[in-house]
Amino acid sequence: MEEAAVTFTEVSKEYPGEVKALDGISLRIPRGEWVAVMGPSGSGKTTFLNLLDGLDRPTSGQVRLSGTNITGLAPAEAAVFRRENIGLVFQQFYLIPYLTVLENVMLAQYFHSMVDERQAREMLDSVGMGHRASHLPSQLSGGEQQRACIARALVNDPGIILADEPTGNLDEANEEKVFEIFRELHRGGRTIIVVTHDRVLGNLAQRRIVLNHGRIAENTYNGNGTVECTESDRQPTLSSGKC
Amino acid sequence: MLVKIVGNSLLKRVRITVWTLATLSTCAALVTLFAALAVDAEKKMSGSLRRLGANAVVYSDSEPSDGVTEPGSAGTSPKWETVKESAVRADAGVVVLQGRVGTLKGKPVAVITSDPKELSAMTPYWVVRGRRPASPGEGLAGKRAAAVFGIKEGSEWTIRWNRPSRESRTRITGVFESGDEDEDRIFLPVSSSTATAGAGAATAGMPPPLTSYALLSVPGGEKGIELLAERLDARHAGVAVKPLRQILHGEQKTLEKIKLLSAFALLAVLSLSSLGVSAAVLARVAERQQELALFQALGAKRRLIVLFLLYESAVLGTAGAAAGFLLGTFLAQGVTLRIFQVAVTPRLTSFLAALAVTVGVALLAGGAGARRALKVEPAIALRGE
Ligand SMILES: Nc1ncnc2c1ncn2[C@@H]1O[C@H](COP(=O)(O)OP(=O)(O)OP(=O)(O)O)[C@@H](O)[C@H]1O
Ligand SMILES: [Mg+2]
Repeated sequence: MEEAAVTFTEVSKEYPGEVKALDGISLRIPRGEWVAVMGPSGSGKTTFLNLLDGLDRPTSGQVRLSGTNITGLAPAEAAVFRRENIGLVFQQFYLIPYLTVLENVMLAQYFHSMVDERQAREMLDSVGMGHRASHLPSQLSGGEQQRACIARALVNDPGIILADEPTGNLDEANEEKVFEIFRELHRGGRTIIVVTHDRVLGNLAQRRIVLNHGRIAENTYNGNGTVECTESDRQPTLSSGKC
Repeated sequence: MLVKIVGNSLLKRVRITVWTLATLSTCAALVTLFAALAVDAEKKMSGSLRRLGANAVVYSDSEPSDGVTEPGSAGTSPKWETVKESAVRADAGVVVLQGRVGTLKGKPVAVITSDPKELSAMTPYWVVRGRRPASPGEGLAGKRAAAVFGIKEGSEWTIRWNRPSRESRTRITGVFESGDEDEDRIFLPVSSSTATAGAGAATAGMPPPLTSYALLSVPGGEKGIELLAERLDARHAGVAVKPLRQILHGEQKTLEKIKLLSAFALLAVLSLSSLGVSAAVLARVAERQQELALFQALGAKRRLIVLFLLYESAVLGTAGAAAGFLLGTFLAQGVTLRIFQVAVTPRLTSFLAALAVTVGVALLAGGAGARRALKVEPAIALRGE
């Protein structure tokens, strides 16, 4: 069997005050799959992503990314792993306010290895932001900031994209642009895990995982027929996934 | 890239950068000021204290320095010309004084003659109302003498001499306070060569002096005086050098007190400015938790972030040190000019001191800030609403 991009084994995360953000999650996401994580506020979606990118650690269980047990990594190792493998897209963009858009993208290159301005510009071009390269984030609209944030996430060519509410702060027109970028990424074979409240984005993904109180309440394939899925990926669901 | 990040981080957040820089350069300015005062001004001060006046007196062994002797004994007085040479060679200031007793309004008065320039160099601490005499025919009266005889600045007086029976007319140009027995006396200017001519020589209508002595300001404290005494002993028979102890003692005491005071003030200033700097740096960091969390999310190791913050602090510290050094030198100039009438030269040592202290303080504060910044879990900082 091909190595999965992501494997969760009995993962729980408890915060002080007996808040069970995640409660015994087991899950397997194959390479190249596009997954939407949905669920009500406080159901553990952001926690789920933070365990994936190694910024947070589970209380119990194991998280493996591309074969690496990231639960066992020291913070410095996790940082290295993150910059090699993961691109992060945030709802609040988190662009550095005193750096231009181009420099923000190059920052990710800098932390990864070395800066390459030409490549950074190409990345901005690919999200339609080439003409705003020398602007400061404060001079951009929310949609433009989000595309800059995506360019930054992609510039080191990560295998996995993690996005937390990427369209949460955007209007419809900008949403559509972001959707288009994700479609493009998916076609390019990237594994995409996107947390969203957006039904449209949820339906665009191949697979929908709905969390509720830290548990998987729903795990369905959208049946758009783009990807074949195997029996092992399927879990008992309430809804009518057509995988 | 690090340079660019730091540069932009400093340049594009003007307010906090200016605030941090202001505290840092204040710190540097004060360090420079104190370094200048401690290193430079100490020398100037001891020079200036020397200029505060004589710290030794030379008199003839056979002729008590403070008494009035019969003119017959005057023949044994030393050759002042050569005493003076020796003193000058030892880098000491010197004035030769001759004492006579005259009569004013029928009462005896002590009259001292000396070269006016040399005297004023040796007695800068005199507070003169009016002005010091510049030419023969003018005179300076001590405060108590002025009170006894009713002398006012600008008034004309006639001093009578008994043997031979003559008189000197003098216009008193000033009245001085010295705080010692000189206030009982009247000082008349004579040319330097007349003043050193020795007891035998008569001076412009005056009788031969009853006594003569020299006041010296010798560098190097008591040791310097001992050294000079040995030299004079070897060259001139019958000459004794006596330190004016209370002045020497005062000199030492004053220097020590000033140093102690400076040290305390410096300590206070340093702790205050480090507090200010830490506050500014911590504010910088607090403002940037998300930024630093993002760096980690992008795969920066914590070490790199610490490096980044320290680098930024060092840049700020260096800039602050440079600005503060200029400011501090300027202040030090003002202070020393005002107090010691001399300018300090900007010194590499005080710059290095300012640089070391300021960058040190900035790095300490930056380190503390970095520690605090990294205590915040990036996962939590990036949840920030
Ligand atoms: N640092 C923390 N300390 C304590 N509880 C926390 C902490 N972070 C999250 N939680 C709790 O864990 C639960 C899951 O939080 P999480 O942020 O993962 O939810 P979410 O699904 O992303 O919600 P939203 O849709 O509002 O972003 C919530 O009940 C939240 O209050
Ligand atoms: Mg969330």
